This record gives sequence, structure tokens and C-alpha cells, in this order.
Amino acid sequence: MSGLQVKDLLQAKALGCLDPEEDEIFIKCTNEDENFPWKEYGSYQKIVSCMPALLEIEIPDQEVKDKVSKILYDLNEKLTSEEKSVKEDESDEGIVIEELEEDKDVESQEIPNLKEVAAEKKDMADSISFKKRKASEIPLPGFENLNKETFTTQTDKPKKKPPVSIVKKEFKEKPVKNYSSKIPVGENLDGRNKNKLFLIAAVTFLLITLFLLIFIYFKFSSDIESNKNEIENLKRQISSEVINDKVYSNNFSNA
Amino acid sequence: MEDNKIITDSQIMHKIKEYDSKALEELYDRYSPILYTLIRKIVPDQTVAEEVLADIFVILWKKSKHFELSNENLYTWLIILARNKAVDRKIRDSKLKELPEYSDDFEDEIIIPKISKSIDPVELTKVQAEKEKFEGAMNKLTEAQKYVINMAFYDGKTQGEIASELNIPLTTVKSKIQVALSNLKINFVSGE
Repeated sequence: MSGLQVKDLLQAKALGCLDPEEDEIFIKCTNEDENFPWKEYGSYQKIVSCMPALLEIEIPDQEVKDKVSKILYDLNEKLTSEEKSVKEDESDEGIVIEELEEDKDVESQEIPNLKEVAAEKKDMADSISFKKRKASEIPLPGFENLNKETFTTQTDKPKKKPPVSIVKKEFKEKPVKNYSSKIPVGENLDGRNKNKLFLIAAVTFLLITLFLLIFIYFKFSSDIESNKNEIENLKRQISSEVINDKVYSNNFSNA
Repeated sequence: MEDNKIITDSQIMHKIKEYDSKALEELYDRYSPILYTLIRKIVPDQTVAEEVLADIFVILWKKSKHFELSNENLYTWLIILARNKAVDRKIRDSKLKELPEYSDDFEDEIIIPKISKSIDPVELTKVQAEKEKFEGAMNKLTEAQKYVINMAFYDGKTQGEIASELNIPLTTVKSKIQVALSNLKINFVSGE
């Protein structure tokens, strides 16, 4: 498009009324034409931007400001969660790569052996079809949902920087850290087991103590009872002896 | 806000680029009245106008990196952005015309304006101070010229649509718009 033709479009573009075809040509010119009349175009943009100053100013409700801040807050929430998921994906990716590399080593060790067998037994060679396992076919505990596509895209492409959180200060709510999830599960279970064992030991100890106390109580009470009986017997014995003595002495005196 | 007298648009934009929400709030306080007025002129429905205004600040916040600070012309950028966004919303809501799907690319290419770096910085306060002068320049235009300018800028009509609506040749509309805007510029400059 010649310079003259572009110049003809400047005013209409500044007003935003170019038809789509001409608009396309104009955009192309702004991107490619080194001699694009930016100064003239800018002067029309400036004039057009002054037009709203003639309107009677209307002030939006306070609610609109709140709405804008809410939208930005939600936007931040969304971006923060996206950022979080990207980080999680990256850490998962690391584990997957490690595990697949381990599997790769195993595979590379197995291949020559099988080839040797195939070479030795030519008759069997045709029937043997060594199928190399694909990354997606390798069972990875905990990564069942990860398919080949996601893996390849994760590894082939350069690591994406997590989206920058675009809202700071007022609009940005600090993400609540999930401390509970950071505590290793094993340690947690150990602590619980320790508590359980301690509880069981304490209960057992209490039961044994109680049993001993009951035993001691019955033991002592039976001893006391037997002693009482013995004392009673002795008393009776003594009293009967005394009576006998008395009777004997009376008889003796009478005699 | 006393700080408004001290902090320039360019300084605010620098802060917004660093995602300073206080700066965005300041920019909102400064520009929301004129932007809202412009949007209401294009989209009379209050709810829709409020949504468009909110969209403008979301775009500004999300894509502040796109804004080149070298030209320091935030006022012009915001006004044209608001106009483009409001017209797009108006057309989409009316369903009278088929538009490309609203995507990030569409927004970057069509909605977000490319502002010339060759113009002197324009600030809202300066524009408000020159309101009468601009009004004088506008009043020097013919009624037909003013009408065509309003149809293009506020109604969001293309030259072809104006031609068919007014039942006049497209070339006539094109030349009217060229002459109208050129005269407006000359009138405004000569009024200084």
C-alpha cells in the first residue's frame, strides 16, 4: 500500500471506523511499514481522545470500584491457584522423569540379552517380537492418570515460568499454608502409635495395680479373719481351762 | 486525593507495571469518571457500562506490560481502549454483526490501541483545561461533519455502515471523515 493510501486511512482509523478489510491492511502497515506516518496518526489520536471531554461527566457508583477490586481479587486467586498447580506439576514431572530414567536403564540392560537369545535361536527369531515399552505403558504407581501426551509436552518443552502473580498488597491475599499436608505421613503415624502404646501400657498397669490391690485386700482380710478365729479359739480354750481349774480347785477344797 | 497533583500518569503506570494496587486505585479514582461517561455514551445500559469499565481496569492490570511508557500517553490509550471495548460489547450484545471470537489475540490486536509514540503527552487535567478550546474547534465543523464523527466514534459504525445508513456513496463518507478530522485538528491547533 502506498504512503498516500495509508495517509487516507489515518483519520478513519483514529476514529475507529475502518471497515475490516482496510483495518487489516492498516494494522499490517503499522507493523511492517518503516515509513508509517506515526506523527500524523498520533495527532489524530490525540484529537479523537479529546472528544469525551465534551460530555457531561457521570461518576460511577462506589459499588463499581468494589466490583473492580473483587474482579481483580478473583483474578489473583485464579492466578495463584494456577501458579500452585504449575509448581505441583513441575515437582511431579521431576519424579516421573527419575522413575522413567530408572526404567530406561533396566530396559537398556534387557535389550542385548534378548537380542542375543534371538540371534542364537534363529528359528525362534521370527516369532519373537520385542516390544519396546513406551513411556506411557510403564506403570507408575501414583501416576496412572499421566498419559504420554502430558509427559512429552512436559519434558520436550522448556519449563514454563509460573505465571507471575499480578496482584500485590490489598488485592493479593496471602495463600493459607497447609501445614498439615507438609507433615510427613510416616512421622504422623509413628506419633499416633506411640500414643496408643503408651495408653495401652498405662491401662494395663492400672489394671494390674487394681488386681493386686484387690488381691492384697482379700488376702489381708482373710488373714485377719483367721487370726480372729484363732484368738477366739484361744480365748475359749483359756476360759475352759480356767473353768476346769476352778472346778478342780473347788472339788479339791471340798474334798 | 492531594497526591494526584504530584504523581503523573507515567509515574502511576510505572507503579502499576510493578503491580502496585494503590497505584491502580489512584488511576481508577482519576480516570473512572471520564471513562464511565464515555462508556455510557456508547452503551447506555448502566449494568453493561459498569461491566465494561471493570473490564478496562482488568485489561490495564493484566496487560500493563503491553503499555509502552516511552510515549507516556496513558490518557489517549485509556480513552481509545474504553471506546473500543464499549463498541465491541455493544456490537456483541446487539448480535447485529458477527465478530471474531473474543480471544487474547483479538484483544491485543483490535481492542488494545497502538498509540503513536510521536505525540506529546496528554494528561486528563490538560484536556479538561482545554475543554472550551476543543469545544470551539468542534463547533467550527459543519453539522454533517459532526454527525459523521459521532456516528463513527460513539455509535461504532464503520465507514461502509455509515454510507449504507445515510444512503450516500462510501467515497463521500470517507472524504467527509478525512476532512472533518483534519479540520478539527487545524481548528484546535489554530485556537492555541
